[in-house]
Amino acid sequence: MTDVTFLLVEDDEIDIEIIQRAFKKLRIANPLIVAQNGIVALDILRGQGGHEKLGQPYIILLDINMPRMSGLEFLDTIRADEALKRSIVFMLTSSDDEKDILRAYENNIAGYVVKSNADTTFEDALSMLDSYWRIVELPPR
Amino acid sequence: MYEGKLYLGRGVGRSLFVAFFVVSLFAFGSAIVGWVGLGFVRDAENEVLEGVYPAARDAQQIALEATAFVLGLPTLLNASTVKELERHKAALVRQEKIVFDLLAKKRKQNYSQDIVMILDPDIRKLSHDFNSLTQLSQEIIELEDQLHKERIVLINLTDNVIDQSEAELVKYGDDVVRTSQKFRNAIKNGRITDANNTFEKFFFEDWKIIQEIYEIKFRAKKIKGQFLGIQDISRKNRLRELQNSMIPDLRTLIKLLVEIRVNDVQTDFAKSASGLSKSISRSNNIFVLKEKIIVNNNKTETIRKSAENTGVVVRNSVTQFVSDIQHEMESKTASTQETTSNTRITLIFFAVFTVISSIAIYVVYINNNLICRLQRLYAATRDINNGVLSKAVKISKDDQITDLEKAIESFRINSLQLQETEKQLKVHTQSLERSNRDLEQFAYVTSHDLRAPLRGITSLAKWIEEDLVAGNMEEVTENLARMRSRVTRMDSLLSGILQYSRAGHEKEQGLSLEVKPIIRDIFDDLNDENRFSLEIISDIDSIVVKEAFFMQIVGNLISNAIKHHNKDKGAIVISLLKTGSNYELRVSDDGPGIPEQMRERMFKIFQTLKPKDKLETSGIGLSLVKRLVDQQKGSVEIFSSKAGGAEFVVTWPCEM
Repeated sequence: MTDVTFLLVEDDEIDIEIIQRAFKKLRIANPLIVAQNGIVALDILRGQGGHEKLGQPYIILLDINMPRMSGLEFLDTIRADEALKRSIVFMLTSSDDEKDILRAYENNIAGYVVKSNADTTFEDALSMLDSYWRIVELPPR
Repeated sequence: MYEGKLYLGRGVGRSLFVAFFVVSLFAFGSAIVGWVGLGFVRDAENEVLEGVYPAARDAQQIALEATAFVLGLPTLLNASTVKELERHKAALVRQEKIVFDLLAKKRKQNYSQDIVMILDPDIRKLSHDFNSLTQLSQEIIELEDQLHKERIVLINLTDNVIDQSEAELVKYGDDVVRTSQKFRNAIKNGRITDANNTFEKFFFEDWKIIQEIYEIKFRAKKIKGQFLGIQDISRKNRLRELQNSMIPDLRTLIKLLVEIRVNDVQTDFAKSASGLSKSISRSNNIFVLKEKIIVNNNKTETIRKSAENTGVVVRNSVTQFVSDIQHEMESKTASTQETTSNTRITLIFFAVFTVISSIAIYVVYINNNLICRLQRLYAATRDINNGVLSKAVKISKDDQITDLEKAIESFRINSLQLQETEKQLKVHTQSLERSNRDLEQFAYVTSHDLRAPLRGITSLAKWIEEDLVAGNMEEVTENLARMRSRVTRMDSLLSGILQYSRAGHEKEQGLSLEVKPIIRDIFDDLNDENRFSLEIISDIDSIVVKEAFFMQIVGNLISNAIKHHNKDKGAIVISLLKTGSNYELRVSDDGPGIPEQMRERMFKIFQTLKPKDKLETSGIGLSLVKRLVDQQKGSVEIFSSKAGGAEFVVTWPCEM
């Protein structure tokens, strides 16, 4: 099976680096593409704005608090898009607010992971993701 | 506790009471009129039913009975025996009693007294006639009796005479035959002297006697006939005539009877003659009797006729009486009808007046004084209930309704105050809610935005540690710098938070500030790299405004314009105008501008356009501007500038 690409939608550079380091440490060789806000992420998914279109299969790792377009707004947008609505999305955010969790799940996310200060390596989360894409059947193209 | 109390003191109660009283007086008046009128009618009715009508009826009955009485009187005359007379008399006595009883009954009654007075003498007369007739009838019967006896006697006597005469004549007839035979014989025999003697004897004796006897018989028969004929005589003069013709005849007969010399019959004849003579010469002879009878008959006839007349008079009197009474009834009826119509008219007048006065009272008083005012009150109360409190309640007159009006007016005023209070409460609640929302948002955003750098610091520390352990020094310095920058970022975030929370709370008055120099100063401060130019458009030299407010707004907007510019050089245009009762500040740049869908979220606290690593900005600026502007009840909006960038328009009221 083809390797899954991870699209990380995150604006904080440290958080990005954390993920990158975790990938390295876990020897996850899957490609990791970073978009710094929802708009850029959309461009990447659609192949617009000077970006190449992201090919299937992919899993989206989504933060909430971003400039221009927040993660939840981005989620609404892709769920409304015929081509993108089946995308697998994991929330990776510092917000543990119930409202955010509810709103995310209402948009059928695959999971909601809270960035806590303690677990800065995200390693558990990423190893879960690694197992996830290997075990689970992703929607056909 | 208000029920059962009688309110007659002032105002509505008294007026209504008076009104009702007046109307009911009229109604009562109508009733009285009706009562009285009805009384009249009933009296008239009673008069007719119990007075007039019975009087007429009974009078007619009297007439009837009296007429019956009168018609019954002749029966007395028809009686031939005393017994019969008694019978008839008894019947008439009964009838008489009926009439008298009727009279007695009516004598005491109204309306009948007159007629009774009129009829009384007539009835008495009839009574008197009755007595007379009775008496006369009685006498006549007796006289007839006597006459009858007398007649029988006389007729017997004459019959005797006739019989005897006839007998003698027969005898003499024989004698005549013998004598004539003797004569014939004598003649035959030539005995003239014998013949002559015989003839002389016959002619001078027998023939004379025969003649006398014939005359006696003839007179007796005639007299008998006349005696018989007395029966039929009804008139005195006729009686006299008969008497005058019979008396000489009787005398003659008597004379003849007495003078006749016939041996056989002489005595008888003498007896008869004596008898006849006695009868005739009696004081109560047949003629006298007959005369008396005739006289009596005439009397009775007179009386009968008179009674008949009296009967007619009675009937006429009654008829007249009835007619009079009828006229009286008619006139009474007419007057009753008049009374009835008068009563009706009066009643209608009263009734109409009652209705009119009721309507008038209703329209003039009840409607204007009560209903209209009550309607007004109802409308006012309804309005107050629906929250329409602008119209004051009209106070009118001075009665219980006035009290109500005053009460409702004060209620309206209270409600108005309450409304005001509620409005203020709502405003406060709204602003509290807004504050709460802001606070929530603030807490949310703050916690996230503060946690991010902390997370960053923790990770960096970890990596530095790992690198140091691994002896990998390449990235250590850089990571340390990144750490420092995150600490600084946190610090500036906290400052921004502080500034935000403090915004607008400084107790300061509006100062008079010189517009252009202040703006220029702020700009110069921020334009440290000198990449930008500033143009100020304003015809206002100085404004009265809170210093912190003005400077923070101008500062933040200019800072934003500078920070988000995408070119090396830029131009900023600031204008300040007075529009109506507001000031309008416009800050426009020729930067990248802000897409429409982003504009609203710009004012949220900590919102940035770019990631914080790309552009170090707290994201506080615009939310601070919004907060300051909201506190002054102004507004801030984002448009596109003519140069393609962003234009911020801030408005706030001049009065601060």
